[in-house]
Amino acid sequence: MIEDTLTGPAADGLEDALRAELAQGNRIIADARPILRHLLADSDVGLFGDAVVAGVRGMMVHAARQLLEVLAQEAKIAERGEFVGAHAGAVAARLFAQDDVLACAHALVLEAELAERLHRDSRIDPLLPPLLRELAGSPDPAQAAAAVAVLGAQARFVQHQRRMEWPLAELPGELFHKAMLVLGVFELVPAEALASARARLRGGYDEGQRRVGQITRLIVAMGREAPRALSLDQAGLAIFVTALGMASGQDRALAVLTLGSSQPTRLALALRAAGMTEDEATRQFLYLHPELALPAGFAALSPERAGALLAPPFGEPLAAPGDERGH
Amino acid sequence: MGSGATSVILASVDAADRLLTAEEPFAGFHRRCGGELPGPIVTPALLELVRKARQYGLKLARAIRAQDEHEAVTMWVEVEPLRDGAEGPDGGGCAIVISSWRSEPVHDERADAASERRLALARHQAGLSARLGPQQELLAVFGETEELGPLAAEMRAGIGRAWTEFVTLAGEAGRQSQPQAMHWRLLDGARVRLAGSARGWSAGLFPIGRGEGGQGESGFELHLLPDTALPEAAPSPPTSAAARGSGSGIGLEIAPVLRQPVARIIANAETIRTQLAGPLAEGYSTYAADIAAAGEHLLALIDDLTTLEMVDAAGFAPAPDRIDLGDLARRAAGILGMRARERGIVIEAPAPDTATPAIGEFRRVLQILLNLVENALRYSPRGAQVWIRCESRDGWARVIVADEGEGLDAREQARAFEKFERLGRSDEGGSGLGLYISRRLAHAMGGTLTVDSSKGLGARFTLTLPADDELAGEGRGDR
Repeated sequence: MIEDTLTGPAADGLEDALRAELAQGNRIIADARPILRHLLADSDVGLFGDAVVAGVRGMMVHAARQLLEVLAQEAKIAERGEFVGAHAGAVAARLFAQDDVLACAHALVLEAELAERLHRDSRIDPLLPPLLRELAGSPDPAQAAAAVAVLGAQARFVQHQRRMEWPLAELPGELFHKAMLVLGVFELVPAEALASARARLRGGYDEGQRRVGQITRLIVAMGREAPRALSLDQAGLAIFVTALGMASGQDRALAVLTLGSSQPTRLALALRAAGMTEDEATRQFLYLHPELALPAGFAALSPERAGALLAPPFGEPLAAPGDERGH
Repeated sequence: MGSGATSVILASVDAADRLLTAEEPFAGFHRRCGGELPGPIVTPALLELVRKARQYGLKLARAIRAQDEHEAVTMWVEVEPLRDGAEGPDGGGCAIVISSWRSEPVHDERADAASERRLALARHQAGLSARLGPQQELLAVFGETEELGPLAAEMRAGIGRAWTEFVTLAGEAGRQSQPQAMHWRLLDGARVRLAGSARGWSAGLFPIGRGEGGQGESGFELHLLPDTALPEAAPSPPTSAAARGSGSGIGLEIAPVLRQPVARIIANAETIRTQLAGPLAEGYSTYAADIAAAGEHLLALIDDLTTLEMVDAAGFAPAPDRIDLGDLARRAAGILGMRARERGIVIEAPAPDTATPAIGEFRRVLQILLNLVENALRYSPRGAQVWIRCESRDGWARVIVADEGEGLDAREQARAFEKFERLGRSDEGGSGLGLYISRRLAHAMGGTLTVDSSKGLGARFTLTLPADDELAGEGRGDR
């Protein structure tokens, strides 16, 4: 059997195109190995564990589905489920293409995982730690209300994480805004439907109702007592890490990463920047790095110096997770 | 618990970010910070939050910390953009609800120490620095990176105006003049956008001295700090070079590329040297000092190359002005006084009450004098003296810098003003361009720069410029 074969310029063009595609394929194969090696060799397995990757992907798809659901309703699309299913992957991909969205989701998954580990190993209550129990019974109605609100938000967070969900209402304002922009990229529905979907989503958003917002509000309401939030066993992980971010001037997502097994130095600096003495910091260190001692010279470093070290441009990772505070 | 933690404070702003109404204690804080009611918001974090809420069309809620001279305030702030009528989320004002208001007196001592360290860091990281007067007006602008060159030029042309007129405070739609009365503490740390730069910046304001009149009585240091030290900051193409019609373009093209990494090397080395990152063995601290010194030398060389390019360009012309050589000589002596003391050398500058009026460009003449005095210090033995004398005669004003160094023989004198001439020296310091540049500058201002020396008897460098006869005629004394 004789096949037709192209010759001349047409063949050249075809070969060029094929070569380019081959080259692209080669790059992907070449890139895969270092990534895989990194995943296998990384000492901080928790940072990229299977469950973590699955959790982040699940959250992104969930966020995308909520956006699409509202879009479909406003555009009066009959087969809503089909519409949402058809586009969820693409919208999710667009969402996690945003560095700060990705960093925020990653931090939430790591937080949930760490909370579980602390519960298992150190009996630190993820829902109702001693401090929250005490504040919920506070004679100050603002404190008591804030504490109860945190309890509810925390319970919902645990449930969402188990289901790998990310309610849009939990996004920080900056990221919610980005999600609104992402929605417009795809031109899936007429412009009026997009506008009314955005208006509806925006109207329903209240940053203060986020879990992190509730916790921050509680810490602010504690006033002079706020430093008590800087105790893992008393305040629980969620409140502790929020307070640590506030006190050390770090983004909350970064503060969560600070607690990971590969970051003892960053943690020590953050604890010092938050004003802890060596004894206090040692106690917190024990829960997170039972096998490690505080870096030498901890006490010699003043809180201001520690804070300066954590401040940009020296103290933040090059691709900082988001350019805004309060994630 | 701070007082008033349970109460709620209401406020409102209009579409132009002006605070329309505010309840106490927020209203009082706002006024103490230099704000008016109604008037622009003076708390940077609150301003940023309000603008975001309006831009996003979202109800936002954050913890905000603010500080004036006496108190530090923490509060929980909710901002809701009002969507009345057809205005939509982009227009209209915002409703503000503040709760958990807590105020604490500022702990001065700790704040001072912290601010000192912050200042050390800021000086190293700044992309542009300026000296401000008590009203935050620009007095001098220096140390800019190439990226901020055009901004620095604009600022230099606007000496005496408030620095805030030259930047865009975060979120601001267009450049507009800011209320001059804005309290420095509220501008300190404020996020700014700078013309010609794609990255985010923040302002660092540091009061100079502490008088009874409060901090900032003697003015401020301003440092503009980049959010991110971009790995390869895309330097703006050297349009300035093209505009000046320069020759080879080597200095102007290489300078921006070199300046940033070198500046970063110096900053990091200084951080290590000053043990900002923690205690360190002395040996390493010394190495770091060497690295910093070598970096400073490189930076000076880059500056010289840039200047060389400029003075060699066809269209180069300094801006003549009425200057006082005596004053400039005293400034040069003051600036280099520290270095002289380190080497045990005494600089004898003209007496404070003498004036030698001349015509020239202030900055350029200072540059020449600094170069001459620096040379004198470099070539003088320990414990020597350096004299700076001024005189005016026959329509010419002269400033003479004399040292007790080895001096130059006739051949060396002939070569001293050539490019890259270092007269056989190979130690650190000096690019061999200083005298060449100085002479070019002197010629460009209608003057001369000459040397008079013999081996073993020190050197006398004389800068001659046209005298300012009008002033000299008033009989104000020369030396």
